[in-house]
Amino acid sequence: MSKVLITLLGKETDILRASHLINSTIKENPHSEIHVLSYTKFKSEFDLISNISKVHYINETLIANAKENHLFSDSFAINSLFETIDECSAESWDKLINFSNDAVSSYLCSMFDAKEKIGTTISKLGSPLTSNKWATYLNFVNSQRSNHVIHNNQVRHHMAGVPYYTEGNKIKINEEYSSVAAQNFAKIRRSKAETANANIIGISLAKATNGEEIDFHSLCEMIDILESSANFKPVLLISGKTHEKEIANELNYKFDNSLISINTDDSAFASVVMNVDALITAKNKHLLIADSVETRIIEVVPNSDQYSTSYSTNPGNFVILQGPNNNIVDDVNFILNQEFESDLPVSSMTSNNKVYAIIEDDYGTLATQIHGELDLQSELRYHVERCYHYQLLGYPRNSELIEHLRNNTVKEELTSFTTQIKDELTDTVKILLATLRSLKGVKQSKNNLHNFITYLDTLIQKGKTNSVTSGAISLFEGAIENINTDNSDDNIKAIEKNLFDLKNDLQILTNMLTDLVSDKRDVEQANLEA
Amino acid sequence: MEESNRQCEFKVSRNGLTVPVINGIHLHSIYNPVKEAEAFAEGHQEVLSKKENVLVLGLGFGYHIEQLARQLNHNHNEYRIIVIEPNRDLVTEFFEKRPFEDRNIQVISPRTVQGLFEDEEFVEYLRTKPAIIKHDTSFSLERDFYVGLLKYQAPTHINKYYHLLNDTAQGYFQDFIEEDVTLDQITEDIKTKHGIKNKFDYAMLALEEIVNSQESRGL
Repeated sequence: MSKVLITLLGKETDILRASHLINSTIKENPHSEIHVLSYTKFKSEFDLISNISKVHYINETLIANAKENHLFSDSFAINSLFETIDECSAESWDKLINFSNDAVSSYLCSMFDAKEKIGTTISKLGSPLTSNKWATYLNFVNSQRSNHVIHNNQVRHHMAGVPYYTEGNKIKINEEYSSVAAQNFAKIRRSKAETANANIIGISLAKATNGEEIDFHSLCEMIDILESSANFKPVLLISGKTHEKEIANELNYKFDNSLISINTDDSAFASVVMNVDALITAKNKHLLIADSVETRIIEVVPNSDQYSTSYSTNPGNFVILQGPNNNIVDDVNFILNQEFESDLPVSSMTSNNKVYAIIEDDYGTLATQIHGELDLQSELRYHVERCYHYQLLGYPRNSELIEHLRNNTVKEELTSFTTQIKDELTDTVKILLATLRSLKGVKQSKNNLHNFITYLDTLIQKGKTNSVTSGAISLFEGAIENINTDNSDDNIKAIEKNLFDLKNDLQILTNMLTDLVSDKRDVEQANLEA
Repeated sequence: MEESNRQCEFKVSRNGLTVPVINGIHLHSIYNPVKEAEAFAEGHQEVLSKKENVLVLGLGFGYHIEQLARQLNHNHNEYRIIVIEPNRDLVTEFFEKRPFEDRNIQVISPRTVQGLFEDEEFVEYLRTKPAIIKHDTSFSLERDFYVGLLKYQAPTHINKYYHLLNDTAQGYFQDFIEEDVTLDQITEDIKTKHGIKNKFDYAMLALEEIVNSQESRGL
């Protein structure tokens, strides 16, 4: 029996996201007993997640009230937190996983005893310590960017040393709801006279967590086409919120009350969404639940043209970046035609939106653009950066990908790309060399320390920019933070070693760029011209 | 509180109800206490429609509280009234003569204001942000107590509330009893002066983060 404590003290959406790692942990070691440390405000979320033996709650509102309100003694805040700490300290943990990677989790993981601590903890000197390179990546790379070239789900699985299991019971399913839902959906499938076996497309009317929603015009047109088709049947999915009900009513009014809408709370949503063939939704809880039960997802991101990490973790899903005032109907139809071999009308083969497919390669999942105007430079950057980051994290070079990019990209585009990346690389190398030189100065006289610190800081700041080298620099920053010595000479030595490691890491990128524009292509081109 | 100086007698109103008279002051109408109480509750109608929890300052002889309860019962499925009355003799007499039938009403007769705010259940009730309604006659009779209650501020120095801490917390804070320090000062010292010396120092840093990340919901 292995006792595992997972801290979930960050965002509410982390709770559903954690269902994947919890499932993988149980699959990998079925005798694991999983406990979770979370806030009372997230209590209802845990009604949804399977495989958790016990949740230890921190009463965050009581603590904040008692501490902030002058009427109440701070003792209430202290006692409340210490009660939870006592509860967790009474257990003997084999593994402690800082999942949410927030400050409170990091502090508490630092104080609890465990045979193995995974993720970020805080040293006695107050700096973040990471358990391995993947934990460093989570804390220093992904936490600083909105577009993750490696999905956090993969990072967390690597960090915990657990392979990702797609299948499994990640969400609690109420058998009674499921049985009723299955019967009802069977009837809905038979409702199309032509096929008697329609594909059911769920359309979530819930807003995204950032408040965005799928526009009404797109909803109307989508429903109209799906209703008229022989192969599809749309079903509106709402979670009881007034705004969603209003949209459902408005849509129903437009379609003479002929639409099917299902109003369900979160606990029953899994039973419903398991029965749909695809779910069209914004980035919200519906999406996260659907992802946990492996329903195919078409994720709509309104008012966006920059890819930011998908909410879903599984390959086979799609993301539509909907530009302002654009309709998504063509893009949805394009995806459905591809997935269900149907012939829904697509008015134009081009799109003002961008559609990405989530696919899988030897590294893991990735997003690749399949429709809409292609920003080749961004696409190249994404794939090269992803390949580079995996190499930094110990994976072998994906030569197939490099070869594919080399052979399938217009030479001018590739040259423009590599020139840009080389400029960024040169910029970083210059700062790195200056830092190394200033470090030499420190060895000669401690008076040069200020100069060195300035260069080191400039280098670390470079890691916060959009430079393709930022991942390597942020990993370097993490390594520097992990140096745990108060002897200044040892400290300097350790920093020097890490600076040389960074130099090697930048060399990996240089080699990759060289490969991208290697002679092979020129030879082939020459052959073709001949 | 100067309970011993209070002269308490009981009179009967024209409609036959008991009316306490303290130091010559009638706590309710000597003609019709219930009618007076109905008017009292009506005067607070708006707040009673919004709040389901009410903190009443002054027990009197309960007539006004029963009317408040009636209004709450009409407006809400669940409600709760806590009455604060420092005059313990009056409270004893009340429970002997005409205790509340409504179980949603609770009377607290604290010895001190600080003692009241050290009561976890009372603090939990205050966190629900109850409406505060004062019974003017009772309030004037115990002005010092009630003003002290309304102006109360909890002590911030650890040695002043050490006795309220649980065992683990006492174990951690025992080094600070001799010092006149607050929780914030301890946390600041961990961050800026001595770093982590004790594993519970992490708990102090976590507590500060929890507070910073939550919106304050003061009364």
